[in-house]
Amino acid sequence: MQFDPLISIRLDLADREYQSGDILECEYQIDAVESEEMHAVEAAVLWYTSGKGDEDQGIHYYQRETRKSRHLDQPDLRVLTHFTTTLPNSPFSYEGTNLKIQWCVRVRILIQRDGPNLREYIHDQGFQLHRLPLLQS
Amino acid sequence: MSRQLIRILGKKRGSRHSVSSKFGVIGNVAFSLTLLLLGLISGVFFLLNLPGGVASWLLGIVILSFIGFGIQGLVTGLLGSRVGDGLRFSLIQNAHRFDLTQKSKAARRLPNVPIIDTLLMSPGNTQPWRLPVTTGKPIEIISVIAFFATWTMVSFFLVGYSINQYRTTNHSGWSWWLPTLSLLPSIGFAVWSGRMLARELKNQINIDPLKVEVSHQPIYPGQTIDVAISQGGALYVRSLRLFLVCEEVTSYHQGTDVRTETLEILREQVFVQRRFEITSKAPLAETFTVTIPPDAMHSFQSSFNCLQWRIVSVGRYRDYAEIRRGFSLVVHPLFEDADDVNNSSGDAHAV
Repeated sequence: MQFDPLISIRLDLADREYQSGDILECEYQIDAVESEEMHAVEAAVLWYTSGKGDEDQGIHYYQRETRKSRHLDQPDLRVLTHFTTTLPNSPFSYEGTNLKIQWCVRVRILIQRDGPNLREYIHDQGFQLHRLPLLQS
Repeated sequence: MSRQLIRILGKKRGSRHSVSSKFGVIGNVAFSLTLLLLGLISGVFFLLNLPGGVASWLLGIVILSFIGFGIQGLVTGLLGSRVGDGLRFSLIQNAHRFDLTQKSKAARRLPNVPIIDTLLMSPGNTQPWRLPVTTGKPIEIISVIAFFATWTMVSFFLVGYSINQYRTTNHSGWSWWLPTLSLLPSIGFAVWSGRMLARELKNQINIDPLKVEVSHQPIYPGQTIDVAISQGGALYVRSLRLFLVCEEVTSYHQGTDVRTETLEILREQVFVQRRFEITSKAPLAETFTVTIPPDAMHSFQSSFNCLQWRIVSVGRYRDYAEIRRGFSLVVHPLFEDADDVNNSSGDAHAV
């Protein structure tokens, strides 16, 4: 019996509330899968819309690693990986009626099991991007 | 097998797909590739056996459109797929790197926030910025003109055809009285649309447009700005009301249609004046303040979704229909290197 791989994502702030211009630090790790089965890992910081309208998406940060692109001294794609990015000034997280804007760190892995076909697994870790406190006039 | 076939032939219901989105991407790419190859192959044959006259132009245009649509379909198909995520990100990053215009810099500083478009906005008379009108009735008027012109032409054609048939035939068949019967509704449509057009044109010609000017653009949440309104002409105004409005505008596909829904999430009356007269010697000129709520969301714009701020005027005039106009405001988010809120963009000429 084979289990689905486990993808764990950890953000540096426990409350996952960031302000524009903050540095987001993130770690992710993959488990319950053999190293040889791993084909590629993609990590992205992005926002997407939900609600009544069709989905829009904006990618702020993106990295992709494959077995070929990895250094020879650490070819395992499952190991704890760390990245940082400075969050943009917009768009902020928004919870409206017909429109919602959500930020997340998304890790997508491609796995090759039982044959040539690749299978993807995606895990999101949401966070909030807020505005700076109001300036006192 | 039949289950597989049903899944392939499945369709999209709202935002849910009954089949994997891969089928759509593969189909799109395959179709575009076929179109491109067809265009290229027929282009080679076309160049080898170049026909003369108008046919060559027509054929050339068709072949070029095949190539153009093929390339466009391939690019959008690949960018729209998951494979395109990294490619799209890389393209955007590189485009920003080489585009040194101010517009691009501003867009990069505030992604998905509309920037102040100096082409649409002009300096005002009493305040630095005059706001562009976002909702007039140009499309309605053009539609009414097209409707009126179509039915007038149909009516004239039917009159001419009926007279011609009446003169030349023996009046026994359907040939003359069927078009004559159709005359009545077509003339009715023409008269009705003509009256509607006359009323719209009367409103447009006789009522001077309301001008709205603001002291600052862009505006930040919590900021208070001065708003000046002015209107000329000779009018008796039953009421003039102005609202600060925030709207969520969402577009979605329903089958092959694209529908757009607008939902007002904030509507705050900022100005009202009743029963007054505007004359050429005493035009309307008022100034008042508007405060953007401190917890307000900034303006947002993407392909299918938008959050927009506007000042909406609703005017009721004697002898005229109610007139509504919208004036676009841009609310920017506060961020660390934003200009000082109080004097950021008071001068329209500095941008």
